[in-house]
Amino acid sequence: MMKPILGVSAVIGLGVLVVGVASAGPEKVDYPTAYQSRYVWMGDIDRVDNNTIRRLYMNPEAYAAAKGGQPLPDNTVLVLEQRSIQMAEGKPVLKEGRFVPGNDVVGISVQQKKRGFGTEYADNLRNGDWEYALFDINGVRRNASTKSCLQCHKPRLAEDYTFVAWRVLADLKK
Amino acid sequence: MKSRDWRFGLALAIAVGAGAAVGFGLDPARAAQAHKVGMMDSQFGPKTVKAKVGDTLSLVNDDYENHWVYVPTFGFQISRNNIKPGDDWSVPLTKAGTFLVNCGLHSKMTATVTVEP
Repeated sequence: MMKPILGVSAVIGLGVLVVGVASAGPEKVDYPTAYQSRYVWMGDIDRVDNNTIRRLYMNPEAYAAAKGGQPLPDNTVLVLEQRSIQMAEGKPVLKEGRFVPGNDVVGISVQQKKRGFGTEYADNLRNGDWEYALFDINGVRRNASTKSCLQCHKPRLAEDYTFVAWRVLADLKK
Repeated sequence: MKSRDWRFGLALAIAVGAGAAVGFGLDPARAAQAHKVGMMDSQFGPKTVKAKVGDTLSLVNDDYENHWVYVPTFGFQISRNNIKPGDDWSVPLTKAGTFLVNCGLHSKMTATVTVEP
């Protein structure tokens, strides 16, 4: 009777392991379907070092909660959409000194805050309850490391690990 | 000198004076200026800038390490990664308003720029 018990234990153990791996890190973050139409546009950042635009969105529920001066709430979702720009003769086309967006989305990064996220990471990497995920233009998850996201946002504790959203929301309070 | 000639002479002198003022940059239609903001010891200096539309912001890395300068203020958002020591970045000021300048690598490194019409 020992063998079946061991076998069941092994199956249960394997199941726990599989669930553990499947829910680790970026896999917890779902692709934010229809973000372009449903989310709040937080601005276009001209990135002059690589001639792209970073278009930023926030889910409307978080925006409504935070624009009154409240901290970013549980289940805040930020989308960073990297876009091409219009070029002419090898130079960016400018309109009133700003880049003009092209038609192509190059990549999509998602930053989501949810209670319980981030527990996998060491303190020197963890971004509170934030997690990051990368998607291609079809919404398919990219198997790329998000460690650089965590490292870059880590010093931004005072701004709730954001670079731009905190400022846009702070200005709304004025 | 007849009175008419005297008046003509005065008018000529005023015209020449105004022309000289334009030549020396004293024209009421002010010439565009470049406002230098340096980066040193992980601080911007000066921390506040007042400029006018048409001026430029000249961000110069006088520091010993890289900086990543970006503007998070809505409507003014712009970013340049990895400005190396000795590098500079000239940003045209095309719109009136006030915006914040940050370093993405040093979160306490900030400056405020006000652009008047």
